Amino acid sequence: MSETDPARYADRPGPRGRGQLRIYLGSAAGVGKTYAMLCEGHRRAERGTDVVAAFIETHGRPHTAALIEGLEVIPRQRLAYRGTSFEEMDLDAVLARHPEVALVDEFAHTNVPGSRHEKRWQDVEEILEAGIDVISNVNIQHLESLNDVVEKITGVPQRETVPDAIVRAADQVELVDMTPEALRRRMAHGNVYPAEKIDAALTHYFRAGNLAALRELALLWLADKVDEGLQRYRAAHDIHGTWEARERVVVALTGGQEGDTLIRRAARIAARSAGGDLLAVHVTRSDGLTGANPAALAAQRRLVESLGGSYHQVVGDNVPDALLTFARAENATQLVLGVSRRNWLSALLTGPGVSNRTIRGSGDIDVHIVTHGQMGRRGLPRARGGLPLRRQLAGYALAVVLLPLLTLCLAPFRNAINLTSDVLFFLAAVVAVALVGGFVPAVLTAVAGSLLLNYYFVPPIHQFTISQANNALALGIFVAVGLAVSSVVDGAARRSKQAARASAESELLVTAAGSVLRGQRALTAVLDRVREAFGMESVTLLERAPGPAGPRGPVTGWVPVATSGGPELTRPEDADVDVPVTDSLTLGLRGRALPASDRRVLGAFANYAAAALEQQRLAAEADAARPIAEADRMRTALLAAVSHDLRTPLASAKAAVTSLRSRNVHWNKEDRDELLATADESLDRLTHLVDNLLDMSRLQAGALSVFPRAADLEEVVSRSLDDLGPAAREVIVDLPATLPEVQVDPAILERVIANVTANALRYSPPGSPPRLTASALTDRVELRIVDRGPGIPEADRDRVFVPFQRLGDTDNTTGVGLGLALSRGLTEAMGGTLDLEDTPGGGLTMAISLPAAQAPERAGTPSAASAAGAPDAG
Amino acid sequence: MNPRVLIVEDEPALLRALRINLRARGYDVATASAGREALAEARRRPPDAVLLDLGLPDGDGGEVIRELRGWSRAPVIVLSGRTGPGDKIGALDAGADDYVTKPFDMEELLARLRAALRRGEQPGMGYRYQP
Repeated sequence: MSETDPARYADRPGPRGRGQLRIYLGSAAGVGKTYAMLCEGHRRAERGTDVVAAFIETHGRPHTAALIEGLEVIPRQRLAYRGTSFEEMDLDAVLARHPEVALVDEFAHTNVPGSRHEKRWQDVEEILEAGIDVISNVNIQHLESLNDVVEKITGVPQRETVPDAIVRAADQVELVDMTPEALRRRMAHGNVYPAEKIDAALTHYFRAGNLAALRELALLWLADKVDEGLQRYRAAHDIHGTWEARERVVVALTGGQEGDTLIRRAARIAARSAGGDLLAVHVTRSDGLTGANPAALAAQRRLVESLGGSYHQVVGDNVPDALLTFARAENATQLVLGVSRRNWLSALLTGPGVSNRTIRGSGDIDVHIVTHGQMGRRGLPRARGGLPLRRQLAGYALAVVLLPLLTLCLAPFRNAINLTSDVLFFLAAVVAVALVGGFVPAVLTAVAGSLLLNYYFVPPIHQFTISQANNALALGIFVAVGLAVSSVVDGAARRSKQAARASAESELLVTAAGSVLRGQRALTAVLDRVREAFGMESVTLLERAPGPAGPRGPVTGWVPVATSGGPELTRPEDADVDVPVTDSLTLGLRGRALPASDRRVLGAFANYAAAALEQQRLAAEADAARPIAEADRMRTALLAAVSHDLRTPLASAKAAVTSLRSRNVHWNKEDRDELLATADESLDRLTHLVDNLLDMSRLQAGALSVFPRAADLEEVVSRSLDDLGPAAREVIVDLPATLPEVQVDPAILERVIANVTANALRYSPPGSPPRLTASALTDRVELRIVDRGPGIPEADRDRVFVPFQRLGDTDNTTGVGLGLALSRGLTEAMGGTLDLEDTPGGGLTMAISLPAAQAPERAGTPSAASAAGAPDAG
Repeated sequence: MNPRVLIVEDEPALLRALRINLRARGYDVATASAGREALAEARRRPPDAVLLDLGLPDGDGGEVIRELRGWSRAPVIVLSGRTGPGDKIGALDAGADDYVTKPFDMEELLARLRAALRRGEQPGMGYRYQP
């Protein structure tokens, strides 16, 4: 078996004179591989190259067949195997003809036993060795390494495979790509296979999900090959350095306006590598309101999700630590941060910022610092009273610098500048300190300044005594003015903090109110907002459980109504913060204790949560009432429909019978027979309807008895067609001779087939009768009833399976819509499925999939393999 | 000349039974299985009476009566599976002369048809339609 050993062919040194191999790779049959191959053949022929078609399979596709025109075709070789004649590529004829380029279809084809090689790719090897270039094509499902994956996706085992190494070793591999939608359209138009050829296997194979998966496989496989080429190139050119296969990019969000820029930048970084992941994270501080704008964060969350990323929120006081812990836990390779919004002065005063500290601790995670339009702008003020410690410290620093400086500068000019000016200079310093550091530093500055003035400037100099009452008064006023100014500055700062806090609060409340008004999942939205705003672990709305004595009886406990985060609280006692809303509702927060100042906002949130709960319950009640009203309307209309369907055949029968009984007219034989036939047919119709109604009610009540046993499908089909009477004579039955038995209740299946076929007959145009085909697919057998009628739009497909879907009495042809609904119900009761599909070229195909009595044996000969298998080429 | 009766009914079996009966009793019978077809047939050769089903594939029989009444005085007998008083009132107000619910006795229907034709023929009375 050395001939089939792929290693022999892989990585072989390209001998001089060996032909070049170009392969068109496709994801499925029908994407246009043969077409592309023929186009390339024509292009080369036009350039004067000697091109022959060594073997082309058109699959009866007219566009493909037209392209063979103008190319020299090597006649096929005929081989007999087990009494059947097979056509294969005539390898000797190709070698003898010795063109420059040979076009060979279906690279993965298995030759009929008795050929020189087992596989066509081995034929191609021989042609290449002879110095002839070959253009061929293969589908992704035929690659050996993907065999099991493809079988898992499509459920169809692949027998025709080609070793990957052979395809990888090709000089050029080109992808013939087509979207699943386009391919399915091509299929529906009948451009890929004629309607008669489409069976269960093909339909299953060409599901959109399958096609998408196969396409992805093809793209990935080719990307791998391209990558391999790149690695080879790198090795050959001595290029080193690793290439991270997939990037996981974490972007840190503060809730500021720069977030959008950061997210987009991170998404671009993630997109640069195939399948890169994007994760956004916002670190909530555990002390007080985060200062982050929840509306902005929510908008950024939507942006992240729209870019295919995920949004996360973590709680931590140390932002760099929290970020890096998150990034490591998520296996991130890249971390994207914004440039600090603090200006250089505050950075100088308070040490390295988040970005610097993150970079220091990042280790092997790459950190990107992204510039943005919000640089150097302060964020929202922290919502706490007074000036922050930083500014107070700055005030002290200013005082320490200014007071000695003033003393040093003014002391030499003691005689030139009078005391009033000295006092004013010092007053200016106090005001400056008050502006920067607030009340306490200003008071201390005023006191220190008065002492300095007294010691250095007020006579007697260098003594803490004051000789003139006037000077004592000036110093006193100096201290008083200093105190007054600093208290005004401090008060203003405090009020601006309060204003900032109030606006942050109102912004929070507005977003919360908005989510209540917008309805959809309002309660959870409000709780989420509370959790985010206060940096809590979990927020739970609890409701008092009604005791056994009713809502007014003794309390038995609390029931959580809704929770954000985790774990859920079960009693208010377990909460760190507990906000009662009404007698029976309370909002519990777990995470940390909250300062009293946050309670007010929290109270408002609690009220919103209660309102949202009430709204949710009212909406639920309204929703519950709607179906009742709807059902009432339906019942009336349905009654009319059923009454019509029962009365119509009854009326015909009664009319026929009462006229026969009539004494005042003499019926000739012809009229009598016709009236009797009318009565008979009408009563049959009535019986059929009553049977269906009874079965439907049995099915809906779960009282249908099913007795499955192994049955011959062909027998059941012929009995069903007998039931349908003369109309069914034109139905084309095209069942394969070797069909496994099905595990069904034959009596029930008979009714299903009769119902479905009657429907197909009703809609078939004259001259195009319905066709019944069947095929086996692993452990299922699929019966397909194909009609050429008007079909059913995709959107209406589910509706036709709803029983009694037709309302009113305006239609005598479709009945109350029992037929298809009942057929599907009965099929499903036997473990089968009934689905609607488009007939390629127009019409409806009903596919009844049934369990096989036993798994069919896998066909062994190549002829059977290509007949029963999935699409092998295209 | 034999009275001409137009039967409008979308159920083929009932249409056939009615046609056989009316022909056997000497009526000149025309048939239609939808509203549009019925109006076209009535215009082509105006009938002396109409037997009309209310549930038609291309709309409600009430519409057919209303349109017919625009230019014809021929008596209309409604044949319907709808048994509610509202349906009957609606059809009669639209201009029908009689209302027979399905299933019906053939003899009774024929007697009602004869009565309707008699009323339409009464000399001097004519057919007066008051909406």
